[in-house]
Amino acid sequence: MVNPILLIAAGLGVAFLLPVIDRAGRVVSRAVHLLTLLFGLIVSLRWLAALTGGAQAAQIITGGWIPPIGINLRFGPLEAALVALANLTAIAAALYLAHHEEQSTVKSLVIQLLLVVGATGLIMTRDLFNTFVFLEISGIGSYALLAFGRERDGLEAGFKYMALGSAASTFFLLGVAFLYKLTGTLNLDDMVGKLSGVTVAGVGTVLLLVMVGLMAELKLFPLNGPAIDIYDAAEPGVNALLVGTTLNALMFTFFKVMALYRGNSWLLAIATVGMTTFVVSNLLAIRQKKVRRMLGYSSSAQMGLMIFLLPFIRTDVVLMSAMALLLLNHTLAKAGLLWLAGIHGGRELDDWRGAFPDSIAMRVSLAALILAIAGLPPFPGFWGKWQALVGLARSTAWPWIIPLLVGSLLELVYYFGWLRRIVEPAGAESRGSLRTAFSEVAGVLLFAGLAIAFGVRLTASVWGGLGNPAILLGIIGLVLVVAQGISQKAQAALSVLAVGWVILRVVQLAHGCPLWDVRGLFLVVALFGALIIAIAGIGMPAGRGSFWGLFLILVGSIVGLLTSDSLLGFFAGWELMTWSSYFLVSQGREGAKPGLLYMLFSGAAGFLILGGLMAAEGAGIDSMAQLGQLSGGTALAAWCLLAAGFAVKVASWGVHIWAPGAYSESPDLFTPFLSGVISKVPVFGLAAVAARISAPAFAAFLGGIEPAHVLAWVGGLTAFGMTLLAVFQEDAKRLLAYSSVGQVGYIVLALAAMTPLGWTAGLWHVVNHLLFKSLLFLAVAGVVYRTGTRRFADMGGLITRMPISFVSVLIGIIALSGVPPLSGFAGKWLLYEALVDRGWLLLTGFMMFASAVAFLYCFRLIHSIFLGQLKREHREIREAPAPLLVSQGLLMVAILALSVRPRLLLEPLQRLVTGIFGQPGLQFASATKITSSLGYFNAAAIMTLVAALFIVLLFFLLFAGPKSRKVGQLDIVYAAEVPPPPEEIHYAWAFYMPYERAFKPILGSTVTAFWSGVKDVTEALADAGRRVYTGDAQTYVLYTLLFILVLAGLGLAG
Amino acid sequence: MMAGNELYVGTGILLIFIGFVGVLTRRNLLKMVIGFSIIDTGVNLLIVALGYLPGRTAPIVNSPKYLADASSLTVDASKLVDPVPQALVLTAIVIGVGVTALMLSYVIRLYATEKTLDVRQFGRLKW
Repeated sequence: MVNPILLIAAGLGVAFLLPVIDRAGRVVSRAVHLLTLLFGLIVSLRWLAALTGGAQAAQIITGGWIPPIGINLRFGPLEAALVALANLTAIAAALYLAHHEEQSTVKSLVIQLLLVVGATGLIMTRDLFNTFVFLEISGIGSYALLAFGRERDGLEAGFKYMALGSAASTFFLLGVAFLYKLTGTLNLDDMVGKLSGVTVAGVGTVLLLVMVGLMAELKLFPLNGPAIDIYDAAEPGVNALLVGTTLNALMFTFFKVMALYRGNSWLLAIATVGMTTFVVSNLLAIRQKKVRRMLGYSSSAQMGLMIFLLPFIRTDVVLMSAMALLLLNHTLAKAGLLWLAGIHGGRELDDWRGAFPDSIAMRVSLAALILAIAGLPPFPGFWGKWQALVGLARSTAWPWIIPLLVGSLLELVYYFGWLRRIVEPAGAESRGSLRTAFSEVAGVLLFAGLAIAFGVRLTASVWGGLGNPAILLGIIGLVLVVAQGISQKAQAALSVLAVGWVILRVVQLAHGCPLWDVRGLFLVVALFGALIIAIAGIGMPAGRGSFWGLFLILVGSIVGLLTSDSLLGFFAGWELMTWSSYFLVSQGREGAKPGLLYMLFSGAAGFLILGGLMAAEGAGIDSMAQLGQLSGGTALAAWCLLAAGFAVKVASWGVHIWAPGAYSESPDLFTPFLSGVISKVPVFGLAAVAARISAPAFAAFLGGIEPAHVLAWVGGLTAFGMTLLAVFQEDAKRLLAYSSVGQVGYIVLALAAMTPLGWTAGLWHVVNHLLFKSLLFLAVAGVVYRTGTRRFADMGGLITRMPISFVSVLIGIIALSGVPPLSGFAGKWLLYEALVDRGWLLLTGFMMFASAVAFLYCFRLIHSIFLGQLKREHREIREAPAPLLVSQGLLMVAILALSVRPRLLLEPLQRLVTGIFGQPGLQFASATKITSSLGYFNAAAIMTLVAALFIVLLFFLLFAGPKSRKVGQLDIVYAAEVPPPPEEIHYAWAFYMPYERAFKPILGSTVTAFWSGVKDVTEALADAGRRVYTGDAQTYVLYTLLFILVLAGLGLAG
Repeated sequence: MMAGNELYVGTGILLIFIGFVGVLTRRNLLKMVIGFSIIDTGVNLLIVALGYLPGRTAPIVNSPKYLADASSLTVDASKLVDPVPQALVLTAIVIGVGVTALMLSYVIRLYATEKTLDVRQFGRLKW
């Protein structure tokens, strides 16, 4: 094996020879440069392979002096990995920078190599003074590289950066000198032992100097002003190189010197500064309009997070791998994004609208890297954060989880704010075409590819290997996203096959599952819902080119979530589902902004759930099956956090504001899935969690309320409020959106009853709602596809043109409103019985009232679209495409089957609830008669009765009633002029105006006002906070001094 | 611990202080660079002073009187100050020169852009 010292020697040697070699031509010097880096990459990778295979770490002794007298270097697995990463980044950076005039000189090549050497030395050395030397090599290298830029702003930033860096290295050197004085050694490992024997009062101050020196170089708050300027003004390619080399090396240096701080009171200070940096930098970034500056804040935040973890690593090995994953993730994502920023050239966020319109590879890379840095699965950062949280949860440091989650949410705000522009449809002003050669984008593709590859690998390790259907669906989806040549309809057909195959596979797989019952039900719901959408997709275009790929990723994530028994597997699926559905929502014509709102509320829901899962992890529980072992306060905390998260995701009243936009603006084919399946996933969470954790009542001072009762009211109010709001909508999809949220409210309410009957009602409604709401949304999708509008005022009379769609909507609203004879009636019957049985009479009353109100919007829906007068422009309109009708037909058949034979579903449900509660909620007296504790129900009899009544009425209308007369549209004579806007005189406009007036007082926009207040306050805070960065070099140096003084003061006080 | 070298330690600290005052209060970029240079000098003096032992001489063996035993060429450590800080300072001086040179080249380039040396003119990037 090659001696690792050669990595430094070769780098230095070649660096100084390069100007000579350059005489033979730039091509030659560039080739030598790349070969040197490649040599470094291969050597370190081979060492890494050997070291992870169990080889001893290399100890390198220099100058024949044995440590602690001589300088020694170490090359273990971590060192090897970091050096490999540094060389890899440098290769990609060199390829990129070769396309940028200012950095294509031989001088730049020399410095680039020196930066790698500096980083390699910093990583390997075990000597503190040697550390200082490599610190300066890296520092001078980076200042020099920045100075090659000729732009004024870049120079300004470089000078400030250098001023701060010089002050920082002064402190570091002073600290090292004093440490030598105190211990008589410069060898790190030797010093650790000797320092513990030193009891002089000044030790703390000396350690403070070392610490602050490193903190300033690592751009921790508030010392990060110049570093952010560098991101803003300097060539992004240079920053990418610094991320992969110097920054990682500095982080590792801090990791090494942490040994000196063991048992020292500075540990808390380090953790506090790190976490403050994470939260504050993420907060300040949300007001950034400049992309590169935003990336600078983000880098600070990421460094802060890693520094925060350092003090805890000694106590927990889980945190060690968390740190490694976070560092890997940050390097891949940040370097890649910086290159992308350089290639695209857009400085302002708004320049990124529809970025890279003609390159799917760039768009996918961009999206993947943004997701990676935002800490979402499957990318390494997600697993890193999870492990960090688990490590914290299992120690006494668990309160740190709260700021960590808050900071992570803020991170989502600005990264998805950026993504919001990117996902907008490409317009004439969209930028980012590929001007140059492949080598410029090679780094981006390589790093995004690595991030995805690591991601797939990590996810597969949690979800049972690469052969798992969930993983395979994801991979097929990814291929479809990238493959641009296949037509949308072919992709839909492929999706039908893929989902169909998964249905077969899951049926085989599921039998070993300990939770087969609840899971099985939701798997059936999810896969059936997906199949319906895919079939309909053969008939009409959906979203944009990547729709079906993303759809399969989404379905895969839901399958993974539902079949995974570990908490990690569940949450990974949850977050995958969140972002893949985000992209799908955003594909709607006006979907970008509602998509962002959807993502932010979903993100918040995710972090609440994460908090709940961490409460469980803290108690040493990492699988769903063990959740039942939780008890006392932990159980209460876990239950409440999880329930709150799920409640946000079902858009409960108060947090519902994301739902109407997301439902109505998402692509028409995706809305049925969003309503029918995705809104059921939190219900699954609720069912799976509630079935296991028995949360104790709140403490006596809260009146000993049961948490489930609170949840019941949340569900009830949602059902009530959303139903009311649905009545006053002027837009078919918005109406159904409110209705959908309200219906899920019923489900939450029913499940919260925690009785066999309540669960029967809730789970019945899960299936029923999937069927009728998918049906309604699909029918509306067909109408919107043909008419091109969603507004009631622009429709009407379509019954003659689209009769099958009319029947679909008719069946759908009958099933929805709960009137006999369809399946909704059984659902309502079960719900009322469950509520009465539970003794919640007030809630029962509310629900009955809400159900009556639901008639209003049901009537509105069918009347405004299909009845009344046909618009002139719709006279030639055709029925919806056949595949869409096939999907609707399948749903109608299912509804009718459940209506005639409710036992088909009720019997499995009884087995399910018996498994959970020990007793069924219903008995089956005969083939058709179903009895509960309060009464009985006979579907067949009801069906016969209704049919008979219907026939009688029909007969009466046809033969006995008054004769109707056909009236043409033009028979109606209006006044001479048409009042503007003309739709206001349309019968379908403001249909329920009197009711709207009546309900105005309780429908006020308090909720919207509240959330926009939250937004304003956060933004004001961020705006005020970033005034810290005055832009003045001297102020920044002053901050360093004040920072030391404040910490020293706190150190003396503590 | 610091018997006999208080003067040097004190001077070192004073120089660092003076240097920082210069960096923080002078608006002229060149004067700021001078401030950094003074800080460097102060740090170097301080490090040398930390290794100083009264009555001993520099760790350079230029006379047989520093040898414990003329025949074996073994150094009599009790007659010399600690050589490590001196070696460190040599390196630190070199680095300091490099840093100062680079800073001065920044100043030259900055001057070329705005025709001024006032640091307040170079605060456009902020927030």
